[in-house]
Amino acid sequence: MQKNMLGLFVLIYFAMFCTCNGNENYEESLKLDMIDPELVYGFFNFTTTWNYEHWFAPRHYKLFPRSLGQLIQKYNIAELHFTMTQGLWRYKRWGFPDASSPTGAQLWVWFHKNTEDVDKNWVGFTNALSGLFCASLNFINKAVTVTPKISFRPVGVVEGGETDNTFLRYGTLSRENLCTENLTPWMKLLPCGSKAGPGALLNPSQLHHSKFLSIGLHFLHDCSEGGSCERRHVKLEQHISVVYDLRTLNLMPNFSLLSLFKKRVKPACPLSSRSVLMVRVIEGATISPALTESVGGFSVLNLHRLKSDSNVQVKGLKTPGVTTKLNHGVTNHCYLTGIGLEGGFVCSIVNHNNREIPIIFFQVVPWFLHTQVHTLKVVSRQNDIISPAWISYTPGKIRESPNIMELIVRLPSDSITELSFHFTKGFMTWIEHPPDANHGFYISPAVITTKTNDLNISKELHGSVQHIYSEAILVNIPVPDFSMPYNVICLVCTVLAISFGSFHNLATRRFHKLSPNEVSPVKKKFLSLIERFKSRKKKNVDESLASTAEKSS
Amino acid sequence: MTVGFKFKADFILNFLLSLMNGRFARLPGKVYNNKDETIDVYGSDVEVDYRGYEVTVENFIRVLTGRLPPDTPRSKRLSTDDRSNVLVYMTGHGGEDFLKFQDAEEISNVELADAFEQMWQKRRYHELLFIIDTCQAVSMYGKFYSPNIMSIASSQIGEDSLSHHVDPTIGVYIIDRYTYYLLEFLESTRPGSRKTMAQLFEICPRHQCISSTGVSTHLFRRRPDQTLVTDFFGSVRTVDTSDDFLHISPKSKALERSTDNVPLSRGHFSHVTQFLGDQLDQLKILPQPDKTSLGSKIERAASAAFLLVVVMAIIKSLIG
Repeated sequence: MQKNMLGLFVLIYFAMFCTCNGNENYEESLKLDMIDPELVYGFFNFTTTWNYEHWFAPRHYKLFPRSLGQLIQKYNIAELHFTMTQGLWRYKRWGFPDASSPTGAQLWVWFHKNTEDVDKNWVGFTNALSGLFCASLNFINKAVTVTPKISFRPVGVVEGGETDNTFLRYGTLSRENLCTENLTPWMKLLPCGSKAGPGALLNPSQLHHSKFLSIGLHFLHDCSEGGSCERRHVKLEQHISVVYDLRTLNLMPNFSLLSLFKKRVKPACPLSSRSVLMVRVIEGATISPALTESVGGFSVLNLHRLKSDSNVQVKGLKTPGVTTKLNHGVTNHCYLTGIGLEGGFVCSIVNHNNREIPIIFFQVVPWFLHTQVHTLKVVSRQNDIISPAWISYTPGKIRESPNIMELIVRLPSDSITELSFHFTKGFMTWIEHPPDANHGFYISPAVITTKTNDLNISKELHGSVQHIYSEAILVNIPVPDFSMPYNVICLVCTVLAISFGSFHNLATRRFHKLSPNEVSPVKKKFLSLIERFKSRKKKNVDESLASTAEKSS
Repeated sequence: MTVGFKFKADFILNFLLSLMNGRFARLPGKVYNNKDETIDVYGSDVEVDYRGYEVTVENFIRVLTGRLPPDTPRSKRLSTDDRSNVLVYMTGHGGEDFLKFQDAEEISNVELADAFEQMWQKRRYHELLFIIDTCQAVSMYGKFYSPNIMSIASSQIGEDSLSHHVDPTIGVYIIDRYTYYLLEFLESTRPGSRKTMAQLFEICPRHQCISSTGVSTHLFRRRPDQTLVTDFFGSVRTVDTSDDFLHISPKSKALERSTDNVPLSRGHFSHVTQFLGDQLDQLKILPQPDKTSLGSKIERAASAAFLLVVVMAIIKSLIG
C-alpha cells in the first residue's frame, strides 16, 4: 500500500513538472569511457533548453539559472563559451574529447548585433563572470582580448544567417587555476545542484585527484527543427570532463563509482526529462551490476528507474602491454626556441591522414613579445615550403593589444608540418611584473580548427568543427632586480648624508686668520711645562758644575 | 589571507593567496589545520572572492573603503552599512608596523588606520573586530583612532609569532599558533553560544603561543565580557516583521524598460558555416595590399626622385 502511495506521489510529482515545464527541458548524463586500461574518462553533461518566441528576455526563471540569465540579458549576449581547465588534454594518446578546452580559462562571446558598445559590454561581462565563478576573469583586459576572424564561429543559429566579427570577443588566461571555489558556483547553476542524478557524483576534493579536469559552460540559440527555424530555443550546456589515472589511485584491477568519486550515484533529478549513466569498458572487463540496455557500445543505466543510491563496479581490468591509442587525425605540439632576448616559436603539426587537410591555425602572442612576421615559415618535414592559403596578421600594440596570427594551411597527407616564427622579448617596467615575476609569462595555446569529417570523428556537441589546443607556453622575459630601487635609495642617501654634512660644515663655518703671536692656552701651558722642565735641567747642570768647581778648587 | 570560518556571515570576502592546487600538491583542493587532517578548513563548498594576483594592498583598501570600479560584481564588494559588524582577520608575514602582501608589497599600520577611519566616516561599520596573527602584531593596531574597534594581536612588539607544527609529508609549517588555538576555540562555538570576547581574549596563553597576545579595547564602547563572540563570528540574522502591507504594482518601471528594449527579430535564423578553411572565396576579409604602407611610400618617393633627376638631366643637356 505504501509503495503504491509512493508511486502515485512520484507520478503526480512528475506530471506536475512535465506540465509546468512545457517550454523548458533538462537532461543530464554521465559518460564513463576507458581511454586505455589505466585511464578512465568521465564526461558529465547537463543541458537545459528553453523555447522562446521572438526574443529571449525572460522575467521568470524555472530551470534556467537566473544569475546567468540576467547577465546574458544585461550584456546582450547571443552566444557564450566558457571553460576552465586544470591539466592538458593529450590528443595523441587520448583521442578527442567531447568538449575541447585549453589549459587555464578561456572565454569567447558573440554579442547580439544591436549591441552599442561591444567593448564596454565585454569588460562588464568579464567582471560579472569573475564574480559569478570566483575566478580572476577580470584580468581579461584589452591587452588580452582579441577578435578572431575565422577560428571561432557561432555554433548556434544566427539572425539573418550572417556573422559580423566585430561582435566577437575572445580571451584566455593560461595562468588561471581551477579549484574548489570555481566548482562550487558552477554546481549551483544546475537545477538539482549536486543533490541528485549524475551531479551527486561531483565531489570537488575527489575531482582534483585527476590527471585532467575541465569545467565548461556554453550558451547558444538553436532551432527546434531544421529549415525555416520558426521555433527557437536557448540552450545551456554545462560540462565536466575528468580523466582519472587508475594506477596512481591504486584502483587497477577493479574500480567503481564509489572508489573514483567517493560518492554513490543517486536517482535522477526529478526535474530532468532524461538522466542516464553510460559506461563503456575495454575488452575483458565486466560491469557489475550488469546493465542490460546498450546504446552505441555503451551500457546504459536509466537513473529515473533507480530506487536508491547505488554503485557501479568495473572488474577484471588487465594491466596493459603497449596499447596506447593512436589518434588518427591531427595533433599539435608547440615549443620555444632561441636564447636570450631572441626567441622562436615552433608548432609541429602532424597530419595522420592519407589525404590533404585544410586547417586554421590561430595564435595570440602577448604584446611584450615582438613577433617578426617576415620570419613566419611553414615547412613540411620533407623541407617543402608550404605557402598558407590565407594569412591574417594583426601586429600588437605595446600595452594595448596582442599580436594575432590566423592562417589557413593545407597540411599534406601523412606529414609533419612545422610552423615557426621569431620574436624578440620586450622589456616591461618593473611595476608591471607580477609578484612571482620569475615564474615567467604564458603564451596562450595555439588553436587549430579542423573539420570533424577530416578527423574521422563524430561529434554530438558543437557542430562540425574540432578545436585542438596546444600547450600553454611559459616564456621568461628579462626580470629586473626588484631590490635595486631600494639599494639605490640607500646608497644615494648615504652618499648625500656624508657629502651634505661636510659641504654644510664647509659652507657654514666662519674662518678667520690667527695672528702668529697668539698662542692657544693649551699650547701655552704645554710650552710653559717644557720651559719649566728645561730650566730645572739647566739648574741641575749648573749645580753639578758648581760642585765640581768646588771640588777642583 | 582567509576571512571567515565555518559560520555563515552576511558578507564573507576572502582574500586567499595560495597555490593549493598546483602540480605538487599532495592533497589538491584541501587545506588542513592539522597534520592529522581532521578539519578541512577549505571546505568543499568554499567560495573565494579575491585570489592570486588580485590580492593586493590596493584591492584590500578599495574593498574596505568601497572605492571600487563600477563593473565590480556584488560578490567582490563589502556592502556593509552602519548596522554591520565587520570582522577583519589578517595573517601572514609581517614586522613592526607592516604586514606583507604577496611577498611584493606591504600594508602599514597608518594606511590601515586611515582606511578604518574612512570606513567609519562613510558609515560602513557599526563595530569592527580586528584580529592579526603575525610577528610584532601589536604594532599593527597601535595607530587606530576610529571608534568602535576592538583589536586582538598574536604577539607584542619585539616578539615573533610562531607556527604551530610542521607537516613532514609536505615539509612545510602548516598553521600559526594563534590561528590554531583560535580555530580550536571557534570550533566549539555554536551560533547560539553565549561565549564572550573576554573568553576569546584568554586563548593562546604564553605557554601555548610562545608570544604574548595583545588586546586593545579603548576604542570599543562595550565591555568585552558583555560582547558575544557571535556578534562577529557567525551572524545570527534577526528578521524584523512588519504588519504593513507593501503594494507592488504588477508592472514596475524596471520591467517596462526591459520590454521596451526588446527588438523584434527580423528575417530568418540559420546556422552559419562552421569551417571556413576550405572556402576561401567566402572569406570577405581577404588581406588587401595596404596602399599607405611604408614600402609603397618609399617606392613612390624613389620614383619621384628618379623622375626629377631625369628631368634635370634633360634640362641640363638642353641648356648645355
